[in-house]
Amino acid sequence: MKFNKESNLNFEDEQGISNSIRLLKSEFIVKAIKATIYLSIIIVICIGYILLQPRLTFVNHIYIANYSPYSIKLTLTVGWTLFSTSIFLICYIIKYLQVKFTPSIIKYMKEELNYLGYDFQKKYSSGLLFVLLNSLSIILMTYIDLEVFVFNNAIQSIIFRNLIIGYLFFSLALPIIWLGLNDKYVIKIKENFYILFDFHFSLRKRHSDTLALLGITLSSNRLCSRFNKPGKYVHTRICQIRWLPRTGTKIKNYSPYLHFHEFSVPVNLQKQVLNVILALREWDENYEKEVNLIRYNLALSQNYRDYLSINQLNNLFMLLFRA
Amino acid sequence: MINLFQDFVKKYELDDFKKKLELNGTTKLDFYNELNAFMEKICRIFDKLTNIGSLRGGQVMMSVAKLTSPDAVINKTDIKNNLNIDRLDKLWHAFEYLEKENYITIEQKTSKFHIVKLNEDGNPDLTLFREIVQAYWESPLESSEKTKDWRSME
Repeated sequence: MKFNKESNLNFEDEQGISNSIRLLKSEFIVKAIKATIYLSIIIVICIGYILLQPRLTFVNHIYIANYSPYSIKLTLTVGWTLFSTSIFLICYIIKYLQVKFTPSIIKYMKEELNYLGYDFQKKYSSGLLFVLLNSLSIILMTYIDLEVFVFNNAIQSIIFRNLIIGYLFFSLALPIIWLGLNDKYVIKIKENFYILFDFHFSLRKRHSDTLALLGITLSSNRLCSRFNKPGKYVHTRICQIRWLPRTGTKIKNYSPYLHFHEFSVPVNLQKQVLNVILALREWDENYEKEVNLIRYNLALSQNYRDYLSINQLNNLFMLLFRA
Repeated sequence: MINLFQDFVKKYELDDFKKKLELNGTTKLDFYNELNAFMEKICRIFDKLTNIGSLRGGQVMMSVAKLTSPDAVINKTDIKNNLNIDRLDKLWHAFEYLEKENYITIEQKTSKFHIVKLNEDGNPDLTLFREIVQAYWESPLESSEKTKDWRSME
């Protein structure tokens, strides 16, 4: 049997599945080794800095001119740059290891989804956000090192210090949170509608090369709040008709918003993606209708209540007049 | 909305042979709608079951059933297009398996033109399967067209 080698992966027969899984495993092992090397380098740099910090304080005296008696201490700047970059990179590498996408599976999914007419791409880059926020914090630290900010008033000084600490925390925490939640592969369907992809690949089960080791979780964009009654009603109805599981990834289960979830293996990826897209289409068409219907019913019941209260008043007046 | 077939039988007393089944006006409409809903569900079950398996045999069966008509000649490419699959080689294994199991027949007219038919003579149950699939199944091609229409809408 001859196969076109457009993608390295082939899940159409048992031999193909076995070969594909072996390829994915080897790619993932290479990825893990690379990640471990990067992690080790970061840890070595951090330890080195901690050990050599007293000496570096001296080295950090950058002379503006050779003859100038003035010196600039950049201890805070260097320390913060190293600390924030190391923490972010460690989180980034852990995330990189946790996300099981490898070059072959990305290529396979791109081909499958391109055929459906969608672009498979990375959603957001937390790296860019980190660089933006952290550059500002490095500038701030440099100013502090240069003693540009000098306060005579103790209260102003305390407020400034707390604001700086708050910003530093924010500039580090936000990209990490962003990394955890948003750095995913996605297909954009239309304005406000997209599907996120998570790829699962178990390395632990060594005894068999079956498709059960592979899995792709699809999650739609936020639909509405979990406490929105008409939304929940429409969501439940669509999930029942389209056999969509109510729960998705662990994080999404605690989300206060409703999403559509679907589970797929590489072979039925297109079909399952279409299932989620059609569910989104039904949502788009039915949600507004349902909300309007509920509003209309509420308005009717309000009018009816008004009508009853007016009637009661009329009856009361009638009784009074008769008396 | 009735979910159990037993409830449906009870509602219309289909198992009570002493009583006549009288349907008129709205009851006839209800009866037809409920029967239709059952068929739709059966078809959805077919569709989901054919997607659970690791290979594409079930989906190919559904596609052959969908495309079958007295005057239609179905070839492998028609099935590939109907399933919205990019390459025919993805279906080779499924064709081989289904032919081996006598669920379909493949007539090789030329080296590239193969006529595919559902083997209803060998498996009479497939006639009902074809009928249900033709009436209620939405093929991946149709689903894909539907999503494209929705995307193009503002």
